[in-house]
Amino acid sequence: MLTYILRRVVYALPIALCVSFICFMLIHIAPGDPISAIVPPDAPPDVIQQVRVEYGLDQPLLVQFGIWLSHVMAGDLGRSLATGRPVLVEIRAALGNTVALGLAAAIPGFSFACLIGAIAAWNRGNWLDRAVSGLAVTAVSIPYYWLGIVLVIVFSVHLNWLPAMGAGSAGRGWHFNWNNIQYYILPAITLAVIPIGIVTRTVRGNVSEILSQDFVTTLVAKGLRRRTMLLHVIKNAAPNTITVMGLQFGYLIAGSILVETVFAWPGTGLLLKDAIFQRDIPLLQGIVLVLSIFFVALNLVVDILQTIVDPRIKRHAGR
Amino acid sequence: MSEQLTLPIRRYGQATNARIGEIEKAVQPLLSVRNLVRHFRLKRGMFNLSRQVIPAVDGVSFDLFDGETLGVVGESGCGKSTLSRLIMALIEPQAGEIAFDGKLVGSRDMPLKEFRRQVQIVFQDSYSSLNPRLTVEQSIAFAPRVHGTDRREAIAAAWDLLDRVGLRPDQFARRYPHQLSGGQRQRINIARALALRPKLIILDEPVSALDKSVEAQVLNLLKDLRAEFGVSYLLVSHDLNVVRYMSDRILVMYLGRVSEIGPVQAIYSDPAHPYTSALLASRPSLDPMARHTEPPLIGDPPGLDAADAGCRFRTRCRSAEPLCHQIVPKLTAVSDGHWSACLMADRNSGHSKTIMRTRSAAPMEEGSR
Amino acid sequence: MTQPRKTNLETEMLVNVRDLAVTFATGGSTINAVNGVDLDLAPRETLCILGESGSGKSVLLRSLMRLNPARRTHVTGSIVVCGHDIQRAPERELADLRGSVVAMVFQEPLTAFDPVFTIGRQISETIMRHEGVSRGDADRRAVELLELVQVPMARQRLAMYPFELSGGLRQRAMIAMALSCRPRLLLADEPTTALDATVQIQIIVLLRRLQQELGMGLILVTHDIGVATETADRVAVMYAGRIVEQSPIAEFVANPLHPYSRGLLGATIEAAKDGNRLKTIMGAPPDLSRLPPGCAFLPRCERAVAECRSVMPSLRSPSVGRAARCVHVERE
Repeated sequence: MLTYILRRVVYALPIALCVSFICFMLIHIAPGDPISAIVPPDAPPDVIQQVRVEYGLDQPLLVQFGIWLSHVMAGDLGRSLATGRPVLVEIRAALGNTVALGLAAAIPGFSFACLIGAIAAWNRGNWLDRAVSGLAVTAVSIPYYWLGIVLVIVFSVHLNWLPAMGAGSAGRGWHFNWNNIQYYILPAITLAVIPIGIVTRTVRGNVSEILSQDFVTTLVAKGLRRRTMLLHVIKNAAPNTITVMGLQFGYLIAGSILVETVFAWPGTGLLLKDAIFQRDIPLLQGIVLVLSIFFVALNLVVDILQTIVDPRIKRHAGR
Repeated sequence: MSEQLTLPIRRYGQATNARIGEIEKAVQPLLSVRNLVRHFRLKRGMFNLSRQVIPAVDGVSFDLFDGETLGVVGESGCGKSTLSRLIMALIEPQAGEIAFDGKLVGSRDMPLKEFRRQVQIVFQDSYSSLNPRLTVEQSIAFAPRVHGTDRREAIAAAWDLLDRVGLRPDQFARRYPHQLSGGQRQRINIARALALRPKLIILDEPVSALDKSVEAQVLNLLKDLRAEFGVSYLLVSHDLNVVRYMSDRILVMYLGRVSEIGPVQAIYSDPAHPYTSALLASRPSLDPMARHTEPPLIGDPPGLDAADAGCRFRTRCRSAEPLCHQIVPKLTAVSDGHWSACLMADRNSGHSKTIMRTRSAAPMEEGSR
Repeated sequence: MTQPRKTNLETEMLVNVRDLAVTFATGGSTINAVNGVDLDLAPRETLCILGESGSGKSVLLRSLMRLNPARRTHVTGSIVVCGHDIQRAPERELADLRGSVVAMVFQEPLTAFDPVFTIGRQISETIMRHEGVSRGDADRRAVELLELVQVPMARQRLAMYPFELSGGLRQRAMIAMALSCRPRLLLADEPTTALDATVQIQIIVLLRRLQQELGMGLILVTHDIGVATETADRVAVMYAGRIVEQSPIAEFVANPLHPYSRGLLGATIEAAKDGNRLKTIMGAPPDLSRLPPGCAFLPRCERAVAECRSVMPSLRSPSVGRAARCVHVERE
């Protein structure tokens, strides 16, 4: 097991590197000059040149990337061009908020999805199944940033039940009370809609397939109680379902940019958006690196969980 | 330099012409296999660390003569399916040679494409062997078209073949595989195999998936077609009765090696290898008064190990001696054309017993149950 | 655990089936899988149900434990197993019966076992469910059971998963699981079809021995006549959802009554003299959604007469214990 983990970690690094490199290149290909974020456009040319040299922006691209890489190895992700604060500090705070939102979306969302997915599979073919499937397809098809805006309009503007933006007191000591929770509700719902649709469909397909397998007949033929049979079904469905949930959680974290923009949620998504528009290269590089490492680590955790739960992978006898 | 393989034109040192059935054939075999080896490496666990190797086919040699049916018998793990795929050149051997019509397969004299015209295969699973998107006539006409025949001719030939395998072309030609029964599909697979007029057809468990009544029909058909088209068969099956009905000669495989080979009568009435005896004795008795009291063979075919010295059957053999753990038995002649890879068959091997030439090895109880 | 209800029949027959008909509704059509079957099994008796695919034999067997999918299946007739009315019993009573009084062995043990639980766990859970013992006791029993079915290294094998065992061992494990609560009736659905020849005969001999030792009734469904001749006291031949012949095994082999039985016995390769052609039954099994009113074997029968077309022949008994559905069979 340890060898496996180490090997996967070793594989992860080149991936993170590649992603960073591509991102770096894309930023520089994109129109717009990073300099404009640092100095006003009407500054004298020699000041601009001086700033350029100072920030290393006059070097060839590959060299710039190399320099950045060497800093990263030492643990220094540089400083944000826009705010001047260390990138690591900016990201740390933001990531915490994004993960919190992700969990708020994932935990109730996935539980709900598993439940209705299983119910649909159990009732395969009848109205309940079709209702759930229809719901799932709808969920997957909704443009979620549109949904976010609509929710804001309805619940914040018209009904005034929930706040429209921000994370409230997140970051200033978190307490489990309405004051804090209310900020999570709308963004979490918005974020969770598509993953719920996907997980529901996956669970439905998975459980359906399991229920049609021969061993279920054997379980019935043994006269086992309902709860034992449920245990069997869950353990069989777990590997696939865990994988899908894990991947969806990854998208929740890494793909939160639109939701965070709509709700002005101070997470990595918002940070990313700002960094892109401001050509804040160090910050941008830093976020991309952190998110890709996060994603790869998540995949690793999912793989490990899967091998724990599914004995066929653990002890594949090659038959 | 010619790459023609000069094989010994005598089977295993036997002299003169061979008799197959009642016809004397020239001694050049249609298919010659020498020392074929194919191992599979197992990846164990997640780490791919373990290097267990399965010697699926481990040094198999035999000849198949024009016009005969050679039956290959064995249980799961014996390598017969791997063997049939090796011969069809669907997988590559790691050692050994295959020669067809005296020419080395894969050489300039017998390139693969030419070889594939001459050798066709019918698989066990009739459904997955057919492209579900092609109609019956398209499936049959497919190979001829690949080899250059024009469409109209190929379809016409397909209709003719359908007729010869007992399916009315006007009814069946335009149907799809899922609309047919297992027996009908298998007939189509046979027609497809015949489309290129090959010299050899490999039948890999052709009737195992069919009901007994349909099995009989397909076997009769195969026999008729053999006479009509002058084709030879390599029949691979686990069913001793099927193999006996169809074959002229039989090759028994055990764990990747040939354990016995010989004419069908000799194998069935005078088996010269303990495994063959056990296989024959394992057939259910059709007499309710004479039922088995003990199974002839205990346990399952064991796991394979490439680093195996000695006879692979020794772990289950009632006659095994210490000698059997050390020496790998070579095929030894027991009588004309009948060879056995058992130390008991070789008087000079040092084994204390000689081969038991009895009809079956299992004790059976007479009288009422 | 509540004791299942028992009726007077319990001391007489293990299985008593009258007029059983099972149909499946799929899509637009109705499949008549079983069309009027009467069946009896005495205690300690072995009955072989012989038939090909589509004959309804597996459906019949599963009906004895009500294992057919409830939603699509329509069952009429009476099924009494070990004194219990299977059709009317509530689900809870059935669950108490299954695995304890009646048990089933399936054809393909690789798919019949749950792939993500160990063999030992799957055997133990049955024991714990029906006998209320602790996990440790159940495990001990499981080891004994594996030894009973001649699985070497039983204790180690308990901790293995189904895919780690060979085909023969898996089938033995499945038999052990079925026997775990000492059933009075064992149902086996083609238990040897998926096995190699040398393993098949081992399982046949094992089943016969266990049946005698444990005093169970055994109903074995198979398409292989050899299995029937090796195990059965009586044989029932099924065709198109009906039993077309019932007979003690020796008389069946010596003198089959129904043309289909004769065809089956004739089509065995042993029956073909060397070099001669196999006798075949021409044609194919009928479409179960469109059964004709008369004898279903008519299109394939060499001895068909006009009478066969109009009405399904009833079971006629030329001698005690034998019966066949054919107009050519004389009544006693």
